[in-house]
Amino acid sequence: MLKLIKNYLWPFFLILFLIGSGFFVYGIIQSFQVVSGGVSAEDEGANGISTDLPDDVPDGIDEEGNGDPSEPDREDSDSLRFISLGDSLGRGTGDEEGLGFSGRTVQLLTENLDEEILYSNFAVDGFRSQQLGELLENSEFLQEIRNADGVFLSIGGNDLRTLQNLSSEDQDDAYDMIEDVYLETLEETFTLLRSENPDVLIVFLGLYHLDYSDENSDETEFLLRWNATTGRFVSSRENAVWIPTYDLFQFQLEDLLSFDGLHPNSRGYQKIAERIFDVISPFYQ
Amino acid sequence: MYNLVGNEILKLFMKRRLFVVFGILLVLISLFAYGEQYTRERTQARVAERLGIEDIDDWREITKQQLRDLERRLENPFIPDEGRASLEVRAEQLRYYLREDINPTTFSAGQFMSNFMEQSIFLFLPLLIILLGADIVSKESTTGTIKLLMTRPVPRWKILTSKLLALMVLEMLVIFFMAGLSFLIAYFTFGHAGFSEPVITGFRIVNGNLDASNIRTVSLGLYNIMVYSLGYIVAFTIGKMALMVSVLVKSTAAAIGIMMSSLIGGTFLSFFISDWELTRYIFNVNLRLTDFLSGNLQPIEGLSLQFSVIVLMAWALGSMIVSYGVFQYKDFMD
Repeated sequence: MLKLIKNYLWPFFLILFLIGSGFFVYGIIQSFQVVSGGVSAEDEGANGISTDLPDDVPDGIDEEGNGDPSEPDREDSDSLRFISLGDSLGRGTGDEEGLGFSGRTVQLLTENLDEEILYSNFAVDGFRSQQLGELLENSEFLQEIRNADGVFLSIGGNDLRTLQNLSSEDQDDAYDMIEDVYLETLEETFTLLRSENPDVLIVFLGLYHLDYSDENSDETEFLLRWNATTGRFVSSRENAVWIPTYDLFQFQLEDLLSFDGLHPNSRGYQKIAERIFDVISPFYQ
Repeated sequence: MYNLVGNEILKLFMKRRLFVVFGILLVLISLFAYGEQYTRERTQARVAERLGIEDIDDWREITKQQLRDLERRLENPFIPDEGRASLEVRAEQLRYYLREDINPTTFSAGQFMSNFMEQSIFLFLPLLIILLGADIVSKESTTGTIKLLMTRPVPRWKILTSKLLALMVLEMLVIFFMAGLSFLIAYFTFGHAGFSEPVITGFRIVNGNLDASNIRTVSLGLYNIMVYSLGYIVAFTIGKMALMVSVLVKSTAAAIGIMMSSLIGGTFLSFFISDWELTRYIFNVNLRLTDFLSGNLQPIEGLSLQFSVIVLMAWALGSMIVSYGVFQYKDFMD
């Protein structure tokens, strides 16, 4: 037995070693290619996944209407223009049909008003107030804002959510800091919007809840404070309305949230849209 | 030479230590697999509880919704290129899961394999190699067999080379064993291999920041080959260093002790003086090669896969020079 092992062990290992070396050399070469951004023909074929990202990004994303922002076709008085700005709620994340509250409000307005309605969605998932401020520095947007008759604005949820990563002792101090920065940025945003377009109606969405854990009363407390501050801020401006949503979700949170437990589902968005419609439709009649 | 290496392999193979290493691997991999399974089940249960449903059997719905959201986000022209790239590959992954009818929350054997190597490459794998390699010369000094070896009409460098080659073969055997065993155990635990699943990789480090603009997916099978190949680079370097220490000191215990303390001590050192520029030339800092693939790293200025591999190779080369130099002229007769 020992003799057998003696005779065949080493040749066996030698072959194993040679095969293994081949594998490893291949693997190391692949690793280097991957980290240096090179594409090997092999895995292109194997997965059919192209590394080329589409660079023909559409430059206007009107969902209903022609949307080159630079196109100054505004003053045909029969059409109303709406834009949606802000975070994932503005975008409509979680909505099975992808409309979001802004898209759904526009839908309701289209059904009930005698005017053609154009609508563009510029909201970006995960945006905080400061990022929105940076985005608005883009001159393309100023044109959009000048042409708009209504702006749906949903921002602040992600600002407030940064609190969740902190321990409860730090949260109090952090809250004040975050809120100060937020209000300052909001002030700038409103000033900008107003200076570009004094008549535009700004529809600001209140926060419905911060997290699925409603047992965390601290966070609910912060949320209510946040809503109160923002509500006061927005409502004190001319042509601006703050839409409360906390009460809409209060007794049926689970029914109105999408699978991710954070964003509303289509029913949730619909409820928000109905409320907004009720509030703003007299403005346009 | 052929016979000499065969002889060394046999010596290493007949030692109980190799089987101790295999045994440790067996126990640890089983434990990890069990722990992973347990965690997954608990997470799923918690998510289900949070959503107020009995069971997450409608994962397709959830995945579809995630995919829809991702695709809608991609429509937005105002997201930066880097964000776009990561959204693209995530969407690509989700599409794969839907197409192949795989629940993305379950774990595949392939994922477990690469996870295991990623977790063990910087400490556990080097420890195993040290256990095997640190006594390859010093054992002969301790037992006195080195004298017998020296009296044979073979040049000393040939003896050392045969030991070196034998150790390289054994290092590969350990890597193979890790791969094979983790695959088998994970396959029994999780039920499917999943080697064609897409894995996100292709991160780059640009100016000390992680750059995700070039990320893409490769199949899990290829990813595993890459990860285990990088594991072999680490095993290779640590093996050479262990051999050097084994030549330098007489007792096996001392050799293992020295290697282990430098392995662990070097890691501490890199924590404490992380802003010192020379830190990145310490071998410990460069052991986490797989992190460059997974993008799961704290970027240190100037560190890249290329750099780390070169540093490790330099350590291996240096160790080999010292080993040969000392072995050639050392007096083994005292």
